Amino acid sequence: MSEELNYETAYSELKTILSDLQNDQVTVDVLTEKVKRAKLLLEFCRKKLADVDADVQDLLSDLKEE
Amino acid sequence: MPEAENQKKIYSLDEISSSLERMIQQFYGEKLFWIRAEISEFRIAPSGHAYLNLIDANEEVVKAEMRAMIWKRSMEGIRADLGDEFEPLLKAGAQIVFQAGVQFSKRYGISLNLIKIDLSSVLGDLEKKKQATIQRLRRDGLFDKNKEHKLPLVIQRIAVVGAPDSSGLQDFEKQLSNNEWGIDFRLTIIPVTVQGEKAKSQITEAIQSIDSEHFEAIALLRGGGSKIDLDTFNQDELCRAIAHANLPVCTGIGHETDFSVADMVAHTFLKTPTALAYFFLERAGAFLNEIEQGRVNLSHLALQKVSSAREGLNRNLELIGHECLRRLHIDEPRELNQQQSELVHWSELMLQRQYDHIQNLSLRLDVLSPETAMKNGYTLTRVNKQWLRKGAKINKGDMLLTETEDLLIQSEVTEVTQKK
Repeated sequence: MSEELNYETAYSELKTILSDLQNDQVTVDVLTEKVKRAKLLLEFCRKKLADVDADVQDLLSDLKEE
Repeated sequence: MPEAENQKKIYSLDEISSSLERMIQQFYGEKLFWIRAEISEFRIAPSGHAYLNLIDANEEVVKAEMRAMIWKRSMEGIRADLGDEFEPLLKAGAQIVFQAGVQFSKRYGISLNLIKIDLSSVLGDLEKKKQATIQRLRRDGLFDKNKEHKLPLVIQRIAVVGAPDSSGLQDFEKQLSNNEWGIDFRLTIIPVTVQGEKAKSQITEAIQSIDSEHFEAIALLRGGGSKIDLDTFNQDELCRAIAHANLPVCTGIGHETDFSVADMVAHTFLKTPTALAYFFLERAGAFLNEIEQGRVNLSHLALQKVSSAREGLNRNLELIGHECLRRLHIDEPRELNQQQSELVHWSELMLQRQYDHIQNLSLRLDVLSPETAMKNGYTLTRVNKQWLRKGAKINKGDMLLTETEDLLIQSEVTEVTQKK
């Protein structure tokens, strides 16, 4: 979390958490923490998508008006 | 009466003249003859009578010469017969066929009295000469020579050969100077006389003098005239000058029905100066229209290009938009949803596994518990408060406490033996 989060890093961290889960690398003690983190990453990615979507729509409609 | 002097017989001039008069009167009387001759002099006196000098000559010698006259009373009929051809025909140099009587005047001698002129034979002669000229020009390969020039698309600088004050030239200039397209025609007038003896040589020299550098075409103009007048344009020398000209020669000579050799050898011929002016105008106008059409087409095409390019861009823009939207709305969310459900699935699975594991342990614990054993019919026995098991110290007389599921039984040890 200390690093600047972007879609790519968030997504790849999400994948890592999932793959750790699949490979039984997560202990019960840290499970809550991992799932919390995964939830945060998902929310971040969804928010990022919504922001980018709004920007793209704006840009495209600007171009069409010219 | 003749007087006798030294036996010579001497007549007075009057006597001789009277004798001649009588003789001629007797011989010719009122007889009329058709005669061919060339006029070498012609004048009309204030009295209205015309006086002519006629000759019969080839190029080298005058074979015969005689005076002639037309009485005023005959003049009217001749004028009516000749119409427009009267003036061009009755002049020095003209070949004529006429009807005349022979008359003798004691004062003026012998002369011919013209009473009729045969126009058709004169015109016939001209036509024969015209055909001969055409044949010579064809033979010399000159008939279509001027037509080999390429007429420029737009003819603006024109060398105009014509009579400066003639209506034909004025009409021509007027048509070209006020034209609806505003085309600036540059006319250079080369003044010539278009009738009479000098016409042929002046026109010929004018055509020969034109510098092809400065012009695109030569216009040869003559606003109508009699057949004999227009015969100037059938002359061999003049037509050769047209054929050899370094520029295309365009003619506007005479009226509707006339067609001269000059017209035939010219590059382009129109029937009148006005028609020729229209020809130049329409040619230039057609060119301007073509340019205008080209301009319209060009701007149309340019606009089309721009609009199709814009359409192409917009299409690309739309594709980009679709692509973005697809990624943002479908691909990535699907991916995230997938991740989310897997996360849920694997987290739950992992917990479930732990639950199962613990459950299993607890089951195993259960199986091993004394309660379970007793439920299954086993009994537990203690001796001296110790579970009775392998290795336990037990002696005869010890008290055993045996526990079943529902009973506590006390008993005493009577014998202890070792299993083999």
